[in-house]
Amino acid sequence: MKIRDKLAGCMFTLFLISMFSMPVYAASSEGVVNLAEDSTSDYVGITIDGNYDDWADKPHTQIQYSLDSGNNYHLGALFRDAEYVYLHIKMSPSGYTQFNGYNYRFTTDNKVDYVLAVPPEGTSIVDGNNPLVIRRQNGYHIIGGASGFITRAAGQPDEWELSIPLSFFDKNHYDQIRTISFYCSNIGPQELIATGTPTLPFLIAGAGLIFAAAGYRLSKRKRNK
Amino acid sequence: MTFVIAFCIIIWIYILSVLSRANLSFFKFLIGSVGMFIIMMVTLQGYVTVPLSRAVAASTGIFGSLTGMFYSYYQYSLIFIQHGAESISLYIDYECSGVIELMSFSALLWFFPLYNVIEKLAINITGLLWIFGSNILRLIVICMLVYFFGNDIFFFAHAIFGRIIFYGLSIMLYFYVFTRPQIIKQKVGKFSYGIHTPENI
Repeated sequence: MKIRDKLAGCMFTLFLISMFSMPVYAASSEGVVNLAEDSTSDYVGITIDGNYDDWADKPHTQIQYSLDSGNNYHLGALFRDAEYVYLHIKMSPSGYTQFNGYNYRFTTDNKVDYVLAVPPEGTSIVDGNNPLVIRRQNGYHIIGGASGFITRAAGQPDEWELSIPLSFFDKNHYDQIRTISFYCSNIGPQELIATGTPTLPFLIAGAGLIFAAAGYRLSKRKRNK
Repeated sequence: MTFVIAFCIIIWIYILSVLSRANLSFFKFLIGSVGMFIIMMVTLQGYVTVPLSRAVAASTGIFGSLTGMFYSYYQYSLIFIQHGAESISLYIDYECSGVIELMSFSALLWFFPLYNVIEKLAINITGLLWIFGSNILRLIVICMLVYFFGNDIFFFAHAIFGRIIFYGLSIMLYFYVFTRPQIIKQKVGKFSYGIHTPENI
């Protein structure tokens, strides 16, 4: 088979792989998406601005202590993309309704970091949107690139969102972080976990190469006999 | 960057033509398939990964929605599993999407010196569907185990059980495509169960 045919075959392969995603786009309300505009860094689509519409279509976990009644639960969501981890908390409408930004425990691939979310120095939380400063609990240093907002309204439970760059957790290898979890004993016992399930794909690719090379050698040996 | 990639592709094609003329077919297969895999990864992986990971999440989510065990947020390449008070979000990134496996299988197939073009087209389609389906099965099993046994079983489900299923199915595919045909296509001489003619007795 000529090289031209092989190249054509590979183009055909890419066409096939692309075709797998067609039903997804057909079902998507966004319509056809330009593939070139997609990137792994912004597909979560969350902006930290005190507007929570971008969390509405994302799954939340009910966070509550077992002693609380069934209706007293907070809602929490943890998301990540290639650059940031995002956290959204909405307190229970009744019972414990106020913001608590202490003792946020983030665990990234078994490495533990404690974080604070507090108003900027000299300010306090008032009705409306309030910016938050995200600090490392140990040393009280501000985490560069992190941001947050808390929203307070009369008669409503507090709601806040924040983002922290993954480079805070692992400066040099943040692109290799697999599992991130969030836990705060002040809010509830549940842990929010965001993780990947890699197949170790290069191992399979290597195994495939060995099988193909073995098959090739086998055929060559038989042809030579 | 584009210039460097284009230059590398030209060099790669030139090496292939040299190996072809020198009748070094094994090295042509080796350099051809590995080179094609690297070129596809460098040039096209970024375009294919996000739609493919969304497709994997959506396909897995069909089973989850039917059984009510887990839900897919495919626009975010995410599967969400709730088990009692616990929950876990599974992200389908490029290492989970199967894009590397799909490209490596195709690269090996198109430089494997056994099938003709039509056979390769058919095997390529079947193989891609097989790998895609295997990945879906792997994720469904992981989600089911987490759903029934909680977050504590996630490591076992993902790192051991899910991978055994996926590796087993992948190796089965590689064996049937690359190794088994060598045995079947082997010529071992003509033979038959014969007719009992007098001269054969």
